[in-house]
Amino acid sequence: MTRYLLRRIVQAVPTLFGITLLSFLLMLATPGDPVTLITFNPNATPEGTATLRRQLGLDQPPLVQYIYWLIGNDWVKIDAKGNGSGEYGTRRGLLRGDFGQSIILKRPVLEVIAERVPATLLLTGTAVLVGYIVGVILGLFAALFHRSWFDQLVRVLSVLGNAVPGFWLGLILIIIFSVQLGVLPMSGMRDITKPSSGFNLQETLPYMVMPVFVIALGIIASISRYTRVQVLEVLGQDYVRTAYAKGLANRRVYFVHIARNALIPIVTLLGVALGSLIGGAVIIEQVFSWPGLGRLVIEAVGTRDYPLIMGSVVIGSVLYITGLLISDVLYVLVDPRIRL
Amino acid sequence: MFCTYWSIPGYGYNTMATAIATSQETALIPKLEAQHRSESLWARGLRSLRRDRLSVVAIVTLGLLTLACIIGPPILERSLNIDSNRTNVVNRFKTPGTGNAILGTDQLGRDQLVRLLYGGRVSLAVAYGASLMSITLGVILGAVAGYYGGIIDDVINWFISTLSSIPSIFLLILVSVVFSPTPEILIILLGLFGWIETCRLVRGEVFSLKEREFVIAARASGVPTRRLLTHHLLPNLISIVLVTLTINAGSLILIEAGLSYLGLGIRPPTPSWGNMLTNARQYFSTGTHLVIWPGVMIVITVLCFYIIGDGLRDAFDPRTQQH
Repeated sequence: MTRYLLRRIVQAVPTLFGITLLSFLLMLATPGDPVTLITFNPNATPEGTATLRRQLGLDQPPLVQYIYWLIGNDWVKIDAKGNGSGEYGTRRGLLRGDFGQSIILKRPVLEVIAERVPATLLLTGTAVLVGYIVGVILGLFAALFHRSWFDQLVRVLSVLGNAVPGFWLGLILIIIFSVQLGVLPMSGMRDITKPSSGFNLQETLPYMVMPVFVIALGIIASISRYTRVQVLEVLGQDYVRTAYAKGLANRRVYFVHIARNALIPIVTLLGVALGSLIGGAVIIEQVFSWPGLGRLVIEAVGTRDYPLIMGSVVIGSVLYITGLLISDVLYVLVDPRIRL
Repeated sequence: MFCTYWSIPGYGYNTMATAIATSQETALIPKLEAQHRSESLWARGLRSLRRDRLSVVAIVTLGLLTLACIIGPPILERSLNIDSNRTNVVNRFKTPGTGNAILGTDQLGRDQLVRLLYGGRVSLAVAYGASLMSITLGVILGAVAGYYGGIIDDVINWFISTLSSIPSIFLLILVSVVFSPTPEILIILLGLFGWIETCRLVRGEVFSLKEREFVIAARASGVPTRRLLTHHLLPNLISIVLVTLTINAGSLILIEAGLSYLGLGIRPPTPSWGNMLTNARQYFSTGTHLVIWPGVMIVITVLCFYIIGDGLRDAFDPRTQQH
């Protein structure tokens, strides 16, 4: 098991390298220069701009910029004034946990991201939980009552749930429940007219209802569909027939023989679900102005905050890869038939 | 596979659907009876598709919708005397049915129905175009990787694992920022990022096909590699290709809509179903019809694509043939 884990982690290294390279290249190709955005004021002098460019390392060739970003620049002299002398850089690089400074917010990227991740995790975690529970139950009963009206209903729901754009559903819900009925708050995470007293679940709950519902619906659609198929497959197995033949009660067969076997592949999808939802909630966060990682990315894109964008992409990807890894490990843990 | 779009490097619905297809049908459907008549794959597939009423309805609906988007706008503009680009502040936020605005007018007084049809042109073109492109890429790369193996396979695999480890929405956002896309560029971008899942499927399939007797026999009788790939392996991939093509097209409608909604896809004044919703927040009290209709168009179109995809899978999967 340990060896398997180690091998998987080693395998992730070239992938991560590819991610940093790709996000760096994309940023390089971006039109619009952060310096022009910062110095967008009439008092900026060409000299000042040039100094800033040198400080940020934007005067270096792309390869050098990439290396600085990756392993830092505290081993080279940065010639900020352009007169041949200079001081050692202060960046420690991605590999040593330094994601750089956000150009616009003037704070460490990692700090800004760390602030936003809990909100995203709260939203997606709840949605995954709700989606899984409802999805598995719907799928299980749809399969047990194969070809009944309930089965048809679940199938329709699963196709519809995948076909409805989440952001549009969100907008419709806002119109119905916030604008027309006025029962749920429209956006945000807490009442900003009141002084903040830290995180308070009771206060946040009404704000979560709609976004969680929208995200969970997509999960319910996929999971119920998948569960249904898995259960149907298990129903045809010999051991189920044997269980019935030796006179076990229906309920025992359902939950001990069928559910346990059918749910193994579904449990393993949990990791993938969590990982992918890190990125998956971007649009929903935007619709409901939820202050999470997704909104941060959109904001950073709007202000061309290169270090922040690259940092979010890398962090998002690391979380995603971790999710995949967890799902593989779960697979081994849950299924006693697999030995490593 | 989660959260409707993007979770999903290589567009969600599909991944799981394909996995389901293979397991479900083998388990449920009685073993294939001996074929009494010999029939080509196409003839059999089409015959069984014709019997699937839901798929037929979806195909007809999608066809009519596409046709309406292509020929509708000029006809409507002439017969109702509307210019969909001219803004008219007096006619803002007209409710559906007033005057000659069948679905009402938007915040600038433009006719919504005509704009929806124009938007449909863009959205459908993106869906069809990007889907075709990603399939082409996926099949070629998948077939090459699966057939040759070795270092080519390793390189393609590295690409796949890297691309699919970045949450694809982040990737799309990054890329859209860089290229601020016109519809044509958006087609290319979405095509370039959508081939992964197809590639994976095709690679696996080719991997197992190439060890089968008929391929070995063909190779032994001196069929050149190119012909082997195009004439012996590709026909066996038809069902994968058709199904992925349709379902990807549906997912692409959703992705385009999402990107354009964020303001990163198609830019105004060119309408698309997504960017017609960008300012939706401002119409919550004044014009709910502006929020409802673009979404309805998206849902109908995506549903059609998904239903057709499922229908095609059943039709072209030899294991599901029933008499």
